[in-house]
Formats: sequence, C-alpha cells, structure tokens
Amino acid sequence: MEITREAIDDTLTLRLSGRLDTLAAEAFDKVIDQELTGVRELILDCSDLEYVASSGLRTFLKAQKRMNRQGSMVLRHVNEMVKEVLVMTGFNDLLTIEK
Amino acid sequence: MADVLCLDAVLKNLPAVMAFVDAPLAELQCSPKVKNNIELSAEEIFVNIVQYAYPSGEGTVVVERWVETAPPTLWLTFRDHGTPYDPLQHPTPDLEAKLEERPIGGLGIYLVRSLVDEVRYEYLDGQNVLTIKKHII
Repeated sequence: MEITREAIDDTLTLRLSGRLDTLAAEAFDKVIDQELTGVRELILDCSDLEYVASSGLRTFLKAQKRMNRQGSMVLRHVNEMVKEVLVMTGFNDLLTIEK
Repeated sequence: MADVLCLDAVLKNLPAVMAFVDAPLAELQCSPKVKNNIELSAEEIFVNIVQYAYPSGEGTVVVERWVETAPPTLWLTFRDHGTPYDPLQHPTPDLEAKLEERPIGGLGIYLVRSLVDEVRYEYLDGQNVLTIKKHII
C-alpha cells in the first residue's frame, strides 16, 4: 500500500492506495501515531483503496478516537468492496463515510 | 487432490499465502467480490495463527487448497501445531458498541464467518485444523 500526505494548514489528507492488509496496517498505524499533531481535520481519501483487513479497521478506529479529541475525520470515495467490510463490522456507524 | 503450502508462521509470509489462495481463482472465473472475500478470510485466519498460535515465537502453518468444479467451490484448510484454540468459540463482537467501548478482539474471525459459506474447526493429532468453504460465483 502507498500512503501519500498532503497538509494544508490544519487539514491533513492521507491518500491510501492499494491493499490495507495486516502488513500495510503496521505502516498506516505509525503514520497515525506520528503525524496527527496539530491536525484538526483528517481526510482519508480511499479512491484507490482496494482492500481492507481487520487490522486496517483497527487503525481507522484508533484514528477516529484520536480525531474525536482534536477535530474530525472523514473517509472519502470508499469503493464497494471496502464499504462491504465497513458495513459488515458496523464500522459505518463509527466512522464518517462520505460518498 | 489438494495442493499444499507449508511455511513459517510469520507475517512476512502473508503475500505467499495470498498468492497460493488466489492461484486457482482466475480459471474458475471468480468474481472480484468473491475473490476479495476469500483473500480476506484467508488473511484473517493466517494472521490469527501468526499472532496467537505460537507464544514461543516459532512454528509453521500448512495451508491446503482444493477445488470442486460442480458447483465451483474452493476449500482451504489451515493447520498449525500451536496452542489449541477454537476461534469459533470466540464470542461475536458487539457490533453496536459505541466507539470508546468498541472491542478490538474477535473482528477477524467474525469477518471469516460472515464471508464464507462454511467454517469448521477441529483439533486433530495435536493440530488446530480450520477449514473454510466458499462457493465461487
């Protein structure tokens, strides 16, 4: 998976491309730990995210908990495959998912 | 006859498991959705073994794969020699829990149960044996 970052003022966009499997979730987790200082709005652009495993869901959850304390978080452009997993696990109720 | 993959129970072998699981799917004209469901189930099972089966750190996983053609069906069996553990006994996570109380464990096996047509666990000859069955459509 590739994660590209774009920061404008206190808005951070992370563009997730490829497969958020358990190996990739370790890297994503690090980004969430290290790059959210001072961020008020976190945008996860999922246009090119093809796959997510439960380890990736855990990182989404961790990011959401952190952003609840310091601002907001949104997932954008989630494809059908990823959406199915989010709905199946009830994560669609915990996260803000924009069309 | 089943095809067999034997490898160390370490996370870096995840891509090898994915390749093994995927190999017969193209020929079976498997839809992207079913392919995704199979990969995700296989990943969750493999990762569970990597993370929990061998507290001492070292062990192996054997994956067996076989295909039925009428109707097209994929069977996968995962065997390890680790701590006896029946993941099907894990309680279903509370999917309606609020964010702060959301349990972290049990999501993987919950996904497996939701995504495949059949899951079976046995403890046989000192091995955890977890078998999944998925119709290919």
